Amino acid sequence: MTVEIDVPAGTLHAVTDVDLHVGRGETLCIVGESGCGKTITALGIMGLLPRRARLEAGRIALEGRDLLALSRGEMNALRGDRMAMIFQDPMTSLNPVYTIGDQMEEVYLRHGKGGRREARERAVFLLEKVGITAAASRLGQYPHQLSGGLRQRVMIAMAVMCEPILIVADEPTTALDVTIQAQILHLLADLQDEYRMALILITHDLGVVARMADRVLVMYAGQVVETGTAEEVFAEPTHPYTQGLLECIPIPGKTVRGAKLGSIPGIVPALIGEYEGCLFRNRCDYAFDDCAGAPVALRALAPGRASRCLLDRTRSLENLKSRTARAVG
Amino acid sequence: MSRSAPANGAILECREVGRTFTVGAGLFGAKRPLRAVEDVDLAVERGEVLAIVGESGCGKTTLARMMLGLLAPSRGVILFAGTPIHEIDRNEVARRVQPVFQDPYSSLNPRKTLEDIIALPLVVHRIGTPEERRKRVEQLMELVGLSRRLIYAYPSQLSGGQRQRVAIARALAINPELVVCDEPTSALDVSVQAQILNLLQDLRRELNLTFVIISHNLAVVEHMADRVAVMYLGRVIEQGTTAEIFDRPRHPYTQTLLESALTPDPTRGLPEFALGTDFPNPLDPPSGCAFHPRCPKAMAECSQTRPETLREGGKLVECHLYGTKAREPARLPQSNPIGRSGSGTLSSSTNIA
Repeated sequence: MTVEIDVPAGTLHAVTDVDLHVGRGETLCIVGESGCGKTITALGIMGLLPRRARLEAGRIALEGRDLLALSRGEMNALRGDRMAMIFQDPMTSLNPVYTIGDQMEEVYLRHGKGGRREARERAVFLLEKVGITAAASRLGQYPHQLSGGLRQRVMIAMAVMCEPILIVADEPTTALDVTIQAQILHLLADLQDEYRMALILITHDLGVVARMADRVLVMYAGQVVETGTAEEVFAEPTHPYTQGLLECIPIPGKTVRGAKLGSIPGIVPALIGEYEGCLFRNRCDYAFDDCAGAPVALRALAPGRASRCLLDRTRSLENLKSRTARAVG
Repeated sequence: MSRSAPANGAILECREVGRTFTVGAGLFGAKRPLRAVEDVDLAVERGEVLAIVGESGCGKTTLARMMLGLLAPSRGVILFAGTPIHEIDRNEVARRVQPVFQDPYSSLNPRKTLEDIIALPLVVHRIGTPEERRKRVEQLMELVGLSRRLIYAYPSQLSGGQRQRVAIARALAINPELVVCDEPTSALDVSVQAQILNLLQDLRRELNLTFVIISHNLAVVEHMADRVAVMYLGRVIEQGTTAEIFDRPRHPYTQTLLESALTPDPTRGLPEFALGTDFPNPLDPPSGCAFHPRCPKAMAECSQTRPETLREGGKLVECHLYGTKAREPARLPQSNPIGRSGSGTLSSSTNIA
């Protein structure tokens, strides 16, 4: 999948050649910093890109059905029913002038799942399921009457109203406190197990990735730079960007308190116009001449494991070891 | 109410500080008091980093605003270098205590150049001639790692990390004795967060600064702080050195908080705990210990009486488990909430029968 957005200064390559797949019951985490194209990828999958964005993709398929071939009406019928999205900020994504009951029932009614009474029953059932007490009375409340954690629970309950098989959650816990975050993630994981949903979780928080992901997609500047299972990516990061990210966060018990943290110097390159070579090379400690040549391709290292880096794996691992040794001291 | 002994070398001291806001309940509702901060006793020693942690709505920011002299306490007194802060001239407080705010996008004037922004405290306090100020600005920019060519840039031309560096340079312009950072890195990406944390550490070492850091990011707090105060619903419920709080948390709330922090360890799943109900309504705080409705170890007396504040040296805890009535402290588990042992098992040691 490639997404280009025309901006006054030229063409913005927001997302370039992203390939991803997620199976039933599986959690795929897309991780990266602001502006790396995580959200655009999600919107592309959901068919919710802004109009001036151009999406080019070989195929985006849900249960074998090609989403690119669908009309807008058919996409609308699918969204909310077979696939649903949970947004970062529930305050702005819930409609403030409708009660949460109205909003939850609308999804159900719209997709012709049943009548009002069933919709209400299902809404109450799901609100209880996501741990909201006095669910029936909550249905008459407006979003502003709920706390942030409750609103996010409502969003999740709304997303599973029609038992979708794919949930795309874009930073679902970023606006929440740590205690609430753990509860919400638990809830997502439990619901996913119960309904065997595929979950695409977008986050910048490596802690969330480590605890939730089956597989990880690390994105940088609109490209996938590394993929693998969570264990592989955290234990043996192969791309210097992933290595840098992991060194940036103080890890209790590993990082010496008060010791200097690793950091990635420089800033993300502008993605407007044409570029060549590796997009990370200006910030990379290991960059060499070849990095400035042709665009670097994603190289498969093992089944399900790939890295967009010219360094061979053994070499980068040695580097990593010496660097961690220094960092930990 | 016991009072902490006057600490030596304390640059800032809060003594039984409280702040109540009056909140109207709708158009005809009676006005009700909201106790945002209650009975806070804290001392910040010169040269140390004190962190204040807690969930949103626990009163951390209200406390910070009082420390900055921006808000008067309703009860108690805040002493700055031994003098009550409200008796010190406003300008002088501003000269000695400086803030760094959370959001570098909204805390910098978008229509001023970096030179104007960083020099503003110097202008306000009438320090130096224009040339001297300019020199000072250049010196500060170098100190915080900003290229000198950015001196005429506007905030909109900078990245988030650069903006936070500007905010730090501005805070340091008049050599404050204390810098209060309210969530200094939560608006930033992780790679930038690391740069800013490293910068704060360097500055602390070079300039012997004293910091109060307010954060909900426990990894950041553990990394930066010498001492930690944990707040819940306006009260400091536990306080101690960083090692005491993170290695041997005593209050069940601190334990839960540490458990729910997600460390990047893929061998561990999500933490298992039940906090039950949501954060309580501060307008209608629970009786007794404010944490009892969510506490996994709540006992009968927790809902009736407020636990006494137990102090031992610099340590403080407010919990019935540790009161004079608690006869069996040995039964308390040696909790190891974030798996410092490095074992891959999920710690469930904090759930006692």
